[in-house]
Amino acid sequence: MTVSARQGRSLSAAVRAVLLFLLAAIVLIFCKPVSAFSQSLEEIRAKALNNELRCVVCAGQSIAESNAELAQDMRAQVDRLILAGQSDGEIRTWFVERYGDAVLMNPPLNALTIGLWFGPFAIFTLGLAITLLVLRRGQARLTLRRGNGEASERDDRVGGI
Amino acid sequence: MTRIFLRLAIIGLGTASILLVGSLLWFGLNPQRDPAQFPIQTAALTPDLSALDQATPLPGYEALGDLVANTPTDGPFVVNFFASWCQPCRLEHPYLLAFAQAHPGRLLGLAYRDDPLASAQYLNSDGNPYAAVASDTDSLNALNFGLTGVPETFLFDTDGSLLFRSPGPLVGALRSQFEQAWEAAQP
Repeated sequence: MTVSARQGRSLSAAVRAVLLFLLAAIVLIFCKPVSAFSQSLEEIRAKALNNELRCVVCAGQSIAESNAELAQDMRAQVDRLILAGQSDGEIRTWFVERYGDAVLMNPPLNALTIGLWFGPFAIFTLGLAITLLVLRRGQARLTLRRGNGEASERDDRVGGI
Repeated sequence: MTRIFLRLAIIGLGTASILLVGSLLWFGLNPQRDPAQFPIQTAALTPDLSALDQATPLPGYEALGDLVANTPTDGPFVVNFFASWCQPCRLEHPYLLAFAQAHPGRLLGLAYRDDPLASAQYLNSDGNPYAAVASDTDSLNALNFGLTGVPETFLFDTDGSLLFRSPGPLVGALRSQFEQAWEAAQP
């Protein structure tokens, strides 16, 4: 048995192991945890809303994560509003009217937050454009040098962009 | 031509990104800034006074327990959230007493997350500055006011619109701001 053949076999075993692992991971993703208790619709809605609302006295925690007194009050109010028959949107609005947009864990899309939502994409596009421009210039210079021999060597030494 | 343009663009972008990162660091690393502080949008939000009738009277202060009936309708008024367990409240308490003496009937009190008996004992021992005072049942008013802690003081115009909000004890700068707003609110 040659060295390369042995390597090839161990490689394929590793690939098989990785594939098996990925398959298991994918299967696990689609398996939903089964709870012994059934939840009421109100409970599910309250949990979802608690995760969306910010605890206003905690740093970066939702009221679901915090046990600060104000977070307890806010959770109790979410429960009361659900029992009063308010929709999720109405409950969110109820808190925004009293605490402002900052009470929502996900900032809403408006004139003030547009940079927050699209700024990263704009910066990425700008960076991509500059990279492409620089690469294309480098390519052009390379072909120029191949064609002219030493003619453009000075340019490279100076390193000018 | 392209070369000059590209060079200028890179110098410009470099300067811009240095300025951007610099200002973010300047803002983010400022020791005066509390990152946990919740941004209060005072200008946009008007507290909801509709649950004032759902407060629980304090033992011994039943006569002052009706906040709605005791809300002045002929001029500005002040709502102060306090608690017997709250230490910063004790800092502003002497000022509240003096304010109440100078402007009788203008100051309403709500005890936040406090046992009504403990609130009453606090007022018995330290003095009661409030023309009307009750305990905030289920923190309904605290949430309606957008409260983030105690003490917090709200200055309202006669029509119930918010004129000034003090997100802390009325001492130092907050006190002088409150006094200015109070003077400006006088009819």
